[in-house]
This record gives sequence, structure tokens and C-alpha cells, in this order.
Amino acid sequence: MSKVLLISSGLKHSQDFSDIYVQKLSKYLEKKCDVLDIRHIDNFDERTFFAYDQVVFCFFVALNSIPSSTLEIFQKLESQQKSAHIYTLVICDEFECEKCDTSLKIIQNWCQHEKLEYKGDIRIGSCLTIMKTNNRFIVCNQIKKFANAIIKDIDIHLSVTLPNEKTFLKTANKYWSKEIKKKHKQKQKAGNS
Amino acid sequence: MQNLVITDKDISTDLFQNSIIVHLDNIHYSSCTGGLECLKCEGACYFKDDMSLISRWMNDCQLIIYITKVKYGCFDIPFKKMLERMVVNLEPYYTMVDGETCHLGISQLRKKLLVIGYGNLTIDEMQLFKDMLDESTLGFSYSSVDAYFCEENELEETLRTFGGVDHHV
Repeated sequence: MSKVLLISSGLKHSQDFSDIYVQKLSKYLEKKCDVLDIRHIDNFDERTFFAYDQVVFCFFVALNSIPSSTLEIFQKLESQQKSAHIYTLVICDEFECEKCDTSLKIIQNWCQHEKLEYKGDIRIGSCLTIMKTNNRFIVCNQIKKFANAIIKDIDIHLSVTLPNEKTFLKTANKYWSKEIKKKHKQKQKAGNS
Repeated sequence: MQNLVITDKDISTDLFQNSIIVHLDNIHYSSCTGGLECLKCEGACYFKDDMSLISRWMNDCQLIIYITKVKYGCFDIPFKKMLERMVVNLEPYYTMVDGETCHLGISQLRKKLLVIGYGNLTIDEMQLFKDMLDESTLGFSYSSVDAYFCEENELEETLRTFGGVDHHV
């Protein structure tokens, strides 16, 4: 049994995209750990960081790199006592999970600086659309595996995305067409009223 | 359009006479909220601040020079915040380029990027930073990306070496 902290450390509104994955992870973790604390960038208190056994950073990459909000958390933690084992749940909107790798390398570098043990990660590609397809079951299974590894405090590296580029391009570009149309309609409505 | 130098540290204006020099401390910009609303509105950002103008300059110029502190192999926070606002220059739709999916930049002009990073860096961190520059979109398409590193106290001297680089573009 352990004390786990999930920090949703992405940019403020990118959490709209990452929340679904954070919720899944917290659902699998909550039954198995002593304490599960879920924090966002707004309510994260760095003074309590030392109290956790495992900490999971969860974020949507920003321009294929680590978001500035996560770097701000690193800065806040510089002067704090810490010994937690670090995991990362990272999502990107492109097909290739490798687009998350730069962020992971930066987190690993931070861990090395701060003498923290980096234990693993899950990379989720096609994050805007994958949960709207049948592949959501695969995503959930992978998140469950990730949660089990956190509880057992073992090393793990997982990745999941849509099955191929063709499916990705079709579903992801359809997603943007829909969103743009929706926004256009909203604007028209606001203009009329 | 002149070239553009964006810096997080005070530098002499004599060094880059063919460029507009923007010091991050002298401009007002909000942090990107990451909601990708700009991609749904044809690149119209919710925030109306100095980044609107800088973004337009960046679209038009051929050479961009970044002078930034590097920490953990990444841009330091103020610079990263500024770069995150560049998402506005991307198309929402995905395209395959060299076998990889990506968002293309709206600007058709391929630019040259020169980054001068300073700080107390290990060789691994320098490599990580270079990899990040190669793999990140940074809001535009670049024809060349070059990075050079120095200690903070050597910055003035390093910049003198690069001074005038903006004349040849």
C-alpha cells in the first residue's frame, strides 16, 4: 500500500483533453493505494510533495515538448525535500507516441538533477480521438497496467495510439472539421443574438 | 521585413543592427491556456497582447534568433511560455511529412533559426536541447536550425561572435 499523488500539470485548458485519462488512472489506483491525491496546477502545494511515495505527472505536450506549467512545478520543487518515485502519463494529439519523448527526456533529466528515481511512463498518441473509437478498450487496459505498476512500484514503459496512420488521418481531421464547424455556428449564433 | 532577435537577457543593440530585438521583459504576453481554441478560429488567439504583433513579425521574417537560458535541456520558463503562444501559427489539420503526422505551419516562408542557449549545461543537456529543437514544431517550418551554447558569463562574448549574422540573410 502506498501514497500516490497525481498532478495534472498541463496547461490550464489542455486539461480538458487529459482529464479523461487522469480519471481512468485514478479509478484504477484508488482501490489499491492508501492515499490517492489528485491535484491540478492551481491547487498543487509543493510543501506536501515529500509525503508521497509515488508521484505521477499527467500532461498534454505543448508544441511537442514539456508544458511551461510543468516546468513551473519543477521550479517550485527545487527547494523542497523530496524522495518520491516519478511516473509520467503523457498524451499528444499526433499519431506517433514518439512525439512525447522530448518531454519524457526532460523529466528524466530533472529527476537526475534532483536525485529522484524515474520509474516509468505511458505515452498516449492520437489523444483527441482515440477514446471515441473502439481502441478506447486498449487504452483502458494499458492505463490499468500502468496503475498496477505504480502500486507495485516497478519500472514500466507503455505506449498506445490508433492502429495506423490512415485511420488517424481520417478520424483526427474529421475531429477538426467538426470542431471548426461547431465554433463557426457558435459565432454566428452569438452574432445574431 | 527585418530579422527578429528574441532574448530573455539584456543584450547590446549594436550586435544585431539588421534585426528587431525583442526582450521578453519588455513585452506583455499571457500564458497560452492550451485549449487549442485558436486552431478552431483560423488562428485567432483569445489574448490580444504583444504576441499578436510578434507573431506577425515572426511570420514575415527569414531569420529568427533566440537567446535563451537553458534549464534541464529545455527553454527556461518565460521563453517556453512565449513559444507556446506560437501554436496559433499552426494549421489544425494533420499532414504526413517524411512519414510522420504533423500540423503544418500557416506561414509558407521557411525560416532559419539560430538559438544561442546559455547556462551551466552538461553535454547530455546540450544534446537534449538540440533534439528538442529538431523534434519540436516551434510554430513554424524551418529550413535550418542551429544551436550554440555558452556559460552565462560568456554570453556577451559569444554574441559578439554572432553579431552581424543577420546581415547575410
